[in-house]
Amino acid sequence: MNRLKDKKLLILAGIGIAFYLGGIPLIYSGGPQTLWCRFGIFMGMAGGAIIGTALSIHFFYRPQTACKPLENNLKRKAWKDLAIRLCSLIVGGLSFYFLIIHSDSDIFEAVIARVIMVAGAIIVGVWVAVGQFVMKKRILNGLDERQRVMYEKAKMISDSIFGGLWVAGLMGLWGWLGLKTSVPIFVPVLLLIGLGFIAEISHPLIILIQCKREQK
Amino acid sequence: MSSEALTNNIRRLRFDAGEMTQQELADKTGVTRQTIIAIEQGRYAPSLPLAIRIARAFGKTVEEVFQLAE
Repeated sequence: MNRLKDKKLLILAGIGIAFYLGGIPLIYSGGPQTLWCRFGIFMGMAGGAIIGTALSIHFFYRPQTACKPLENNLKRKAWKDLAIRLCSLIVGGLSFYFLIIHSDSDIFEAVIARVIMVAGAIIVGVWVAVGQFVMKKRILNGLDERQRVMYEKAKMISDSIFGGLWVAGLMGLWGWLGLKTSVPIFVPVLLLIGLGFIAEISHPLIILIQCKREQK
Repeated sequence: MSSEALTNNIRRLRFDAGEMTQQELADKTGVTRQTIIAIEQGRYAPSLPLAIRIARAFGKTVEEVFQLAE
């Protein structure tokens, strides 16, 4: 697949941002269950999806060229990863917040939350599969073998953090479920997404700590 | 299992090769200067292909550059 031109990507990202920001006033224009409010939520979600698509195309479909390993490549990559993941966290968190505070209706919760849960699971699955089998070469391009080892080690640590927190979170959730008769559907989804982001953010942070240690 | 550390003569070989800088060696072997520093200090054990490239940069065999110290 050819990479889209940068200008087209910018237009796509612009449309996404417009959708996302345009949805916010609609959400507050009426009551929580009005048509406009729901339309605003959908606009926000669509905007987030468009922004995500534009970012994915930009970062995943760039032409793969062998470049010379440079000392700052790993550090630069870690900062870039951190920035992208923090931005995703803000956009995703805001979307989820708006969704939760406006999900009073049973139908809304039952249908939309399940759709999001399934979509989220698919996205996480694709992310992991793509990351493992397709993107590895592209991601590690421009790094020498020691930097690759550092990158992989940091990934391993962040995966372990995710695994440990996931088990602890599930145990906690299980205990909580035992005490309550009903638990909002978004709680396990929120737990999974939250822990995923902690793991994703801890990865570049670990790399940056390693780089700083080396400089001493 | 015995604890074996990989030692090397890179520093001496660099000076023997007309005071070759770490950057020059890094450029010849296709890695970063930080990696050469880490290998020289024994903080990082290079892969076999990289060890061969380093040895070739000095015109030596791998065993003349790297040794196992028990």
